[in-house]
Amino acid sequence: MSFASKSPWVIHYDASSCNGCDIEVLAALCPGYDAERLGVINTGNPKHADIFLVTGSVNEQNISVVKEIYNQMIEPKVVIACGCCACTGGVFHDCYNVLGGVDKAIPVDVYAPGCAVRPEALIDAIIEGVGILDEKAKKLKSAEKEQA
Amino acid sequence: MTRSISFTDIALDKLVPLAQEKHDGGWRCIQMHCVTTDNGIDLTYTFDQDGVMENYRVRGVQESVDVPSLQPFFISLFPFENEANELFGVNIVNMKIDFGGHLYALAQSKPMTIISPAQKAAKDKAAKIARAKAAKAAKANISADGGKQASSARSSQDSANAAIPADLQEKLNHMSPEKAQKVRDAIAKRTEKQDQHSSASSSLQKSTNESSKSTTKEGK
Amino acid sequence: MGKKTIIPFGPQHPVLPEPLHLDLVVEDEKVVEAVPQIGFVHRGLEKLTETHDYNQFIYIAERICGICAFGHSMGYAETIESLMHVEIPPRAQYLRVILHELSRMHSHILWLGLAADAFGYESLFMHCWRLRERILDIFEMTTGGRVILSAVVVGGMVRDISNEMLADVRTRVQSIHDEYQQICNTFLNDSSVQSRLVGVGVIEHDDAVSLGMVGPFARASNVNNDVRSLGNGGYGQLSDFQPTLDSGCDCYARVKVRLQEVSQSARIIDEMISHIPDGDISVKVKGSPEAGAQAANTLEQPRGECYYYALGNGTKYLDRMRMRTPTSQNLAGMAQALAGCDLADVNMIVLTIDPCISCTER
Repeated sequence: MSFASKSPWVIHYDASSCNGCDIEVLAALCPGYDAERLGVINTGNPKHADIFLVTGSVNEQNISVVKEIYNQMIEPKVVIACGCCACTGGVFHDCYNVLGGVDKAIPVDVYAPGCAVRPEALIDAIIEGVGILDEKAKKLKSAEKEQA
Repeated sequence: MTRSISFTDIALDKLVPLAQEKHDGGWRCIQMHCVTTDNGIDLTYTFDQDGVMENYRVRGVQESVDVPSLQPFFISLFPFENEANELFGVNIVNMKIDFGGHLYALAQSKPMTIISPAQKAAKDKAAKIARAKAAKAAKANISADGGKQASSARSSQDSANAAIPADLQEKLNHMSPEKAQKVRDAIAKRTEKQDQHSSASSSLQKSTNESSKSTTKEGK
Repeated sequence: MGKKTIIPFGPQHPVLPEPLHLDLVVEDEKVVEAVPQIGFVHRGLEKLTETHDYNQFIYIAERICGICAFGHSMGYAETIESLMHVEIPPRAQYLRVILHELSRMHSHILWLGLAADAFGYESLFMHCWRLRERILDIFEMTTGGRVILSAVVVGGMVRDISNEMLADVRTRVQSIHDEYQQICNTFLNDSSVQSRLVGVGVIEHDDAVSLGMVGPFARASNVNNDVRSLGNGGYGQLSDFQPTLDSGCDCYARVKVRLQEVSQSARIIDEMISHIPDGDISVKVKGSPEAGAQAANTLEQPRGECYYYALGNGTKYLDRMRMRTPTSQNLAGMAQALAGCDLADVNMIVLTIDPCISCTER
């Protein structure tokens, strides 16, 4: 389904982040860096989204929310972990309430490090994510053809 | 407006009368927090009015003790009291807004009361070093005082004799004994005065060093 | 007599930058009660004083919140300096105030953009954030970071900003402020904006005082409390500082107070840069805090008064570091404002306290 890669819609969720990465995610979608010219739109509905941008090291209460959003998204879907905290837990990896990285809750496709992650790195990550989305879409299509 | 900050200890039963007094006087209660200590949990309440900030600390609260909530006077304390209950295990009663220990829904219970063994070892070591330092300083003080008295007596005698130049000594030998004694006494007094002056200035230096050390020790 | 329904709001919601859950008990279109549930951002970082010494902890203090990052590092450094009786050089004090006021400008413009998004005016949101990018360019030019600056150490500043660069900063701030007037104009005079803001979320002066509110949220109800009036640190060098007050008591007044504070910050930066003295930017801090030594400090962050407390135990690890952030003081006020409002106004009211949930929960 190449239309998704021509205009990937993103859903963003802050899973116990300090907000630094969240405002950089929003800044990437604003006129300064303008990811919207690539067709990226921020939606609030998981069923409309192709790419899930997660920031923050996940804490106990947030695990179920992150899993819920991931399960509600429709295949093919890509998860991008934005920022050091989402990749490995960052500075907070040894806190008592932090699990350490989003990959403890859901499978992650692209890791975008940085504290806070720079908008340029985010746009790079989205483009890489779009490539992975294309591959997943091809696999789905060929799996459907085999079944039919 | 200038600012002043103070820290005072207070007993647990004085807490509610204090809150009443501050509330009636129009003070703001700006926060409440807990510290884990070896004797229990210390609670600190901070009140502020026009740049004057007063911190009141209740020491050594145990888990079995009921702490009265100050939410009836200052409703804005509710997040801090609920946090104290959940993270430190402090038993606060009569809260107006009570999350029942589920404000944060943590995996560990009372995590802020857990002191890791490495941390405890480091604290004990630092306390030991501080005690050794204090003992050493006290010892140095005592020996310096005793030695100083004996040496000052000796030194005044020596310096008295040494202060008389050779030609004067010759003259004294030819004087009558009473006159010579008077001259010797006068010279001795003069040298003693000079000695005292020089030793006083050096001891002043020493005492300022020691007093600054002792104030850092008793920072409590 | 309508039927009561419970509508869950959050933790994931397009208008919320941070996770916060509210159970709204609604009767027809009016909110009868709002039951908040927080705890989605609690990391427990105050316990990290056990493994990080007082110099390393400043990097953690900065990352409590990305929007108020500089404020937290400055407040923490000031508290430790007061604990260890260290006096920082005047040039460092001026630089800290300049960066803190720039931080206030960027935080308020960010909030104005989010507020515009909350009542549906998306192009105004885009304009505010486009203007904000120019302030982030100033941060990048002077300190190297856009969001987390890491420019403060205990004892002063990490690197100096040369006088030529400061002159450049001054011209940039002036041009940003000139362009900012158009945004101000839209917020204050546009009729669609006014219809969404005037008379919404009213909290009277006496309620504001008894609920212990702080920051622009309280100053819009004519409560005069601004820690900068106490003249601590570099703020004592200002020639004339008056807190921005408004007696409107509603969301429109809160927007007005923040709009005026941006202009006030631009003036403060201008004054500080023209009078900055030459000299060192840091002093060496040796040793550790004494056992049992305590220090407390307050700082006026963009969201309100923030309280810091440090307790030493003779080692270089602090016994306790406490940061009480302004949003936690304002939660009671938010709950009060939500009772009895329209369902469509919930977004706006939650946003007017300028919630920084990651600051509250640390």
